[in-house]
Amino acid sequence: MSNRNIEFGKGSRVLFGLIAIGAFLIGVRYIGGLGTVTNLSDKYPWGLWIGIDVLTGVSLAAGGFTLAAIVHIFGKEKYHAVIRPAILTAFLGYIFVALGLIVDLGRGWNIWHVIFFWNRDSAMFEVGWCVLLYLTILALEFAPVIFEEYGLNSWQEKWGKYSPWLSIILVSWFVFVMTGYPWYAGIAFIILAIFYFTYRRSLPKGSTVLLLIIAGIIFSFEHQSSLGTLFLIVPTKLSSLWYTPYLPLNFLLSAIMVGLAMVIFESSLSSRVFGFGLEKDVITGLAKKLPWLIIVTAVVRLYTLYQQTGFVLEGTPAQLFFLGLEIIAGLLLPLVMLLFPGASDSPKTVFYAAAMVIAGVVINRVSVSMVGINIPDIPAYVPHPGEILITLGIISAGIMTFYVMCTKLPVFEKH
Amino acid sequence: MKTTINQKGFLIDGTKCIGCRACQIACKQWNELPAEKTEFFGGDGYQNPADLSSKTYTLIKYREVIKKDKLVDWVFHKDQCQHCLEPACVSACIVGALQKTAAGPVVWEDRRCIGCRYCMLACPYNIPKFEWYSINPDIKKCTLCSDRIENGLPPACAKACSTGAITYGSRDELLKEAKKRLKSGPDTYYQHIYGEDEVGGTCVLNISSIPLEEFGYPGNLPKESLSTTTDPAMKSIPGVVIGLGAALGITAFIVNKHKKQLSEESQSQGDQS
Repeated sequence: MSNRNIEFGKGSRVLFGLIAIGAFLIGVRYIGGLGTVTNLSDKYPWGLWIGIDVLTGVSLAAGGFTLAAIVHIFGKEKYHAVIRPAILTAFLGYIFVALGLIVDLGRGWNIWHVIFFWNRDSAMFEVGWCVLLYLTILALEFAPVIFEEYGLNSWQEKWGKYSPWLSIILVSWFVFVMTGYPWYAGIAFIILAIFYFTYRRSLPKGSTVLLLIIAGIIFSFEHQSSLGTLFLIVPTKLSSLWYTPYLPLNFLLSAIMVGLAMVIFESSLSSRVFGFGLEKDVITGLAKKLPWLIIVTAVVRLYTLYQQTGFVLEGTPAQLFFLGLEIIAGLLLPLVMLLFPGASDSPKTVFYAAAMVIAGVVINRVSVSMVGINIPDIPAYVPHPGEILITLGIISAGIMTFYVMCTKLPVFEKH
Repeated sequence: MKTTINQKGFLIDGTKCIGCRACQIACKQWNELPAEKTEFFGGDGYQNPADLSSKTYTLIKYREVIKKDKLVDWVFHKDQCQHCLEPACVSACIVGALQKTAAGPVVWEDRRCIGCRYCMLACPYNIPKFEWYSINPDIKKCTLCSDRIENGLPPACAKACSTGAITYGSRDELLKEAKKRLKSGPDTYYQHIYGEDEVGGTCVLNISSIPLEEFGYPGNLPKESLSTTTDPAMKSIPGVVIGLGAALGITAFIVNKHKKQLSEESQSQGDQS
């Protein structure tokens, strides 16, 4: 069936090369310390790895929950064909984000401390728990693909029975960890449990999977926005071109937007690589939704920018250039492209518009975490080749894993 | 605001400093910090080393005051952790490795740290430093000699200072003293106590003949603690989770119920025909 042979062509050799170089440099990093392979410094403690591997990685994994919401919550069944690849992307995305984060942490082996040492005031604490819990949810969302491939029917049954309860417990636990109030957690538990019993009674069989989907969307919302919360504490360091008290909202909205763009981009690419003729209808339908998400993101982004600066834009040439790219090439241009009559029927236009939206979000995250950070009298941070190569290695490993899993597992539906 | 009655701190008076750097040496001795290989650098006089680091917790900064191409004054100031009343680093730390002690010092706990360096980003003064070439790196910063304070001793730098530029005592008393000095010397002092209100106030109070901004201290700090910036977002979590959960749950129910009805209707129609 789906067990096609894995073909390692020229592209794979490049990827393997990058993985090997990255792995070697990670080794160097663990022997000599972060200073040996990075340009990070006491003035710029965060750099490319936080900007790309973590912030961008998480935002680009947003396709998982965006599509889960479209298909399961809003009941648009026709997009079912792309939900598995979207969830796999999110799952692998989060795994490799976690790997990148561990490399970046000075004491990565202590990452489990987050579970035992709590500081509720810390935005980073929320980020940590969201990664952990959403990764669990993604694993549960993807598990049926593995059960299906290996015919693990009893596992599938157990999954159907326990995964809703696990979702309910994880969400309630999250509320407790973040607030310290058992009754808040109790409210969350009761509401979700009510949904569980209602779905079981009056909806078609299998609807209890909705609990898993709801939990995934909750953690995604919290996680995407909390990455913006991280930077609220640096009002004097982050340029007003990006800083706003609404940064968490900007992060959330752009993540939902880029989630959809990623699904379009990836589906277009995968259907070429794996030779599945995806129904054109699917991509066209998604492309029709994308402009709305761009509009919402752009309006809030521009309004908060106006609030902060009154559109008197001041910054270094690099900052102004990045801001221009983000707004014009990442938001306005793809919007105009998609609003042309018939544009959503043209695979090429849709593909390029989605790619531009993605690039815009990458630029936004890189700006917030690197380009936009001002430290007086200190030359701006520029990534070390070691940082770039390790990032490339991690991304390559992600792509390679995605390719292998898509070949070996029933990720794409058969036509 | 938190009570500051029992909090200790410094009054650092730049006009009394002669730039001898005995405090720098005393700090290194007490904290057993290694020497740094430094080089003479152009710019700000004889400041050495150029900046704080994981090996240097405190540093005398040098500034030349030049008017009409003539050197009219040479000013010194002691750079160190300001020991905020409500520190951004403490609020930021994911595992609570940084703590504000009741006596005033902000200290770091080795056992908890995971090395994420969010404290370094969060600190408005860029005080926490990292060991970039260590496989088990620590966060390093001035502890206000918390270990000495606990045993009734003054911090090492304050003990070493021979000109009275560093006064150690309770923050409230020091604030009164600082105000008195500014009042009695309107020409000697730049009329601002840096640390009285900055980011909610700090245990270290600074006065000098020139604004502290000239020593590289940020001049645009809010009067509230920086932790207030993330508070609204953190407080919104239970509301967002429960509200979003309810909204998603109800939407999913309505949509799927509707679909079920549709399929049942089409089925029964199919049966009839």
